[in-house]
Amino acid sequence: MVVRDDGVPVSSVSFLTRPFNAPHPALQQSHRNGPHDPVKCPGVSNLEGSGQRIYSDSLFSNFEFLCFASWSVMALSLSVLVLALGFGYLLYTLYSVLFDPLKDVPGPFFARFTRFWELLRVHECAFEEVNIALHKRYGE
Amino acid sequence: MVSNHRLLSKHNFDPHMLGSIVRLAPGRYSLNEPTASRTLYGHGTKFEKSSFYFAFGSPFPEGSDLFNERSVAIHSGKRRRVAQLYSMSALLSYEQYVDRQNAVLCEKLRSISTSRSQIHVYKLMQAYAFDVIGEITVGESFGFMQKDYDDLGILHAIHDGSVYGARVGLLGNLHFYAGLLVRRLKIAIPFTAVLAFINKNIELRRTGQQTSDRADFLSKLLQLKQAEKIEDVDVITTLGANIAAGSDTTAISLSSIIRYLQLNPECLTRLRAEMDDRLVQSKLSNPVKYQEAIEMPYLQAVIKEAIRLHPATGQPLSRVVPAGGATVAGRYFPAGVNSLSSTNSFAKRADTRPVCCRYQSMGTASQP
Repeated sequence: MVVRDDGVPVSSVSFLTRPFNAPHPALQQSHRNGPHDPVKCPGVSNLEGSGQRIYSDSLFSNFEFLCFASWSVMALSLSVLVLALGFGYLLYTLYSVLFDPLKDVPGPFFARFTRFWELLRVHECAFEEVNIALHKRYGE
Repeated sequence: MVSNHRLLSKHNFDPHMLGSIVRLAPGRYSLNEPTASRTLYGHGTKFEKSSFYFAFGSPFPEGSDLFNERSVAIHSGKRRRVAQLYSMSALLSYEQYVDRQNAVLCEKLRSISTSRSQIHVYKLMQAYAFDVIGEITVGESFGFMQKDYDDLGILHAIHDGSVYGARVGLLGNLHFYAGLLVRRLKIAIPFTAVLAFINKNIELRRTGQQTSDRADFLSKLLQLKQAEKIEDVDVITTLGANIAAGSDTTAISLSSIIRYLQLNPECLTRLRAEMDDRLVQSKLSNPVKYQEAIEMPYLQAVIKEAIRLHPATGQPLSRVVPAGGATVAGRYFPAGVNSLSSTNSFAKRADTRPVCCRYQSMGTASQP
């Protein structure tokens, strides 16, 4: 966790409460004190005064890179995640339909891909009639 | 996508030309093959119930009942503990109490026929079935037939529960997560009405505020509980099964008998002739005894035919293929993923009938 000079933990100033695209408090601080000013980290505060300085401009030396996550970055990564999951689901469905050992069993087209075909028919009532009609229409 | 209506009207083929295997959903197949029934549902079957049944009971394993328990082993264990309650001799011991409700029903029908008023056959039959279940389960009738009103909200609750199960049952484990949500947010579910009624009766019986003149299900279950043969949850699930699952199937079958007799007047004439014959030979008492009824071949045929034409279960009774796969209806099904269902009985139906699934609980108008 990164702490500002005035003791306010920076990461608790959430990007959700910050105005969109406003500069992050950590940035404000470093700009106020100069571009390469140290940022105090509570976990390593015992290093204070030992002559070592922790610099904030290295992305991987601490977790400060999280401070730079803005709304747009989060939205983008979230949508990438959702897209990836959706794409994976599509691929899985396609795979299971194509390599289904029982794929020659006849039935309604959409019933190959989704359970919602049956759900919709049940929702419309009189599924026993639909069931008989299916056997009449698609029966081998 | 074709709607139900179009599907039903376009394909009115010869009923004997029904195909044997059809896909309902990914991994769900409907079988229309007489031989499949025995493989899927016969004694000692390895086919366990699919997740469809799960949504009709408790979402948590500790509350599972005979209907929604999927494991064959656990199910048979549970069944063994309460099987004696459902034996033919145990049920016949209730005959005199059922006859009381038969008398009420006959009185009701007589008054309807003299006043020539319209009735909702299914509702009346469900009220009748319910009153009978009440007599044998908690030792007193619910009085739904006389009151014409579901004052406990139980019929409504059962209907809502069935509608929920019919839909959510198709969506795998959704019921479990819905159960977690309901428990967390303390949402009222339909079964709460049934559960409240059961708990009230158990409490009254335990504290001795209410006694019964007969060995009904409740007192037998409490005896088994005292002998530590069953647990608290078994008492509740067994009573719940009687109340929630006993009435609608009975009412559907009774309504089906009445409807098909109405559609086939010649059958009604023949049935009446059989009854008249028996009455003349003084082989019928009033109300008719079980022993007398099973000796009436035409009546038995009417009952069986009506149940065949319109089984009480509208959705497929799906089962899961056991490990190693299985050959059903001449077709190999791989293990695990496929739920199978035999629609044998109802797919053989030759005719169609008016479809009515709009339901209003008795006395909804007077309910808040």
